[in-house]
Amino acid sequence: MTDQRSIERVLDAWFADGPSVAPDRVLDVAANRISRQRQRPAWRLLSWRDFHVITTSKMVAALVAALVIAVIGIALVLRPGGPSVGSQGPTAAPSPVATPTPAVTPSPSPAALRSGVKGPGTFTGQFAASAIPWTVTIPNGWSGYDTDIVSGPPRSGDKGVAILTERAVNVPKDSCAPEGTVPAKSAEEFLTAVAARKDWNVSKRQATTIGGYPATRIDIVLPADTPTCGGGKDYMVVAHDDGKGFYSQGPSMHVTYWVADVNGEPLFVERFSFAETPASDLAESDVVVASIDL
Amino acid sequence: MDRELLAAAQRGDEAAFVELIRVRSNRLFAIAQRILRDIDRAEDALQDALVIAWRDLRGVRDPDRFDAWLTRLLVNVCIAQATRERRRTANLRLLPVDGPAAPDEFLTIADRDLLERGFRRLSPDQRAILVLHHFLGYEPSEIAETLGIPAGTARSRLFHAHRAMRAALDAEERTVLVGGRSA
Repeated sequence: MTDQRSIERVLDAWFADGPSVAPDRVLDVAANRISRQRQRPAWRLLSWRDFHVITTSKMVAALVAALVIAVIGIALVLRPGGPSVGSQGPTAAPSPVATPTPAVTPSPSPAALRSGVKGPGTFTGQFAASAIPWTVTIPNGWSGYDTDIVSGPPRSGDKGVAILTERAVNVPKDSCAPEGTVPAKSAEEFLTAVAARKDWNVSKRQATTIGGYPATRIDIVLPADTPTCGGGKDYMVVAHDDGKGFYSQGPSMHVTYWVADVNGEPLFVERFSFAETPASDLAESDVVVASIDL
Repeated sequence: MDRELLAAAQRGDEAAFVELIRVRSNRLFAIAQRILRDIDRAEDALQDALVIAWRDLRGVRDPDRFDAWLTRLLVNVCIAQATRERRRTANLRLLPVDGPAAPDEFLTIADRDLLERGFRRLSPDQRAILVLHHFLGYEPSEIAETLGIPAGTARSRLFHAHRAMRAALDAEERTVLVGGRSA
């Protein structure tokens, strides 16, 4: 049985023989489990490897582009009848004065926020699980995911930043046992629930506005040992009314909330970042939040 | 159709996701069972893989790569589970080999038992490679793509997996002949 050809035949036959129908309960149990599991946003699912590939490919593309421009330039200069020193070109020379480019160029009419849209631009999204619209202006390097998330420039490791909008959520009393969390009925109820989390490092409240509505801002630093709960369970930061929630994306994650009561309902703007998120990205994120219109 | 289901599932439509995996569940279960050699553990692995797939579904940017992504995810879950299981059962002794050979079958009962024992001696990585090659019919380049390793590495690992399987079978045959029990 153990020569090369016979073992290949034996393995072919052996593997072909065996159960090939999944019991129905597998799908039933999986369906039940996913109903309690919120999907991770795509911005967090890009690994350092993806970023490395993106960065490398961009560098290669830039080098190739520079080489092509240099070759074309040399060819133009050296071609017979081409421009020579002191001669007039067929067209007016471009102005040497650089025109400052605004950091953000809003679109004339906001496009729909969706996965893959890139800044700069203004986009219209929807609060998660709702038809409540919001507009946001994002700078160059930022992008959209789904209808409720914008994320900052891709960074390797836990250095990203993303801004989400939420409604019908609340902070669970225990992030490792979030079942039964009831959505906050007001901004105050939510802020009280946050303050009750003695295991979180929570800042003082700051009065601010979001989309022109009076709002409260709080900054939270989650414990260093998140996102693990043990037993393969994730650490939930906010729970939705459908039993799902948003989970911690890494150790010591920073979460900032802007909470406002709008037409009798608390609406939430969340910013997720990390201790190592570049200050420049955080500064941009403040501008992005300030651009939000409800 | 799959593209629409995938897009809907990525927007959070659970029914679309279940529909998407329903047609794939038999194939995925069969892969898990062959790597883990245990129906209960295959069920657990498949459930875990499907939950992870749902959670990370928005990371799938190319719909044409969905099946490869899902297979890779399942294989990784199986390898992780087999690794844990291997540690736990490293010191267990298996039942002795017995039972007559069935002469009219290509693989006798004793052959299957020997294969089962030999296969369990392999590392989880080697088991996965053999299943991808012999059960799914993957060539080394496809194995490489599925496992996210270079093609040369896949060829090398397949070679070593075959060699390890032969060695495991030889060892099992010797054990059976000498003592009738397998360590």
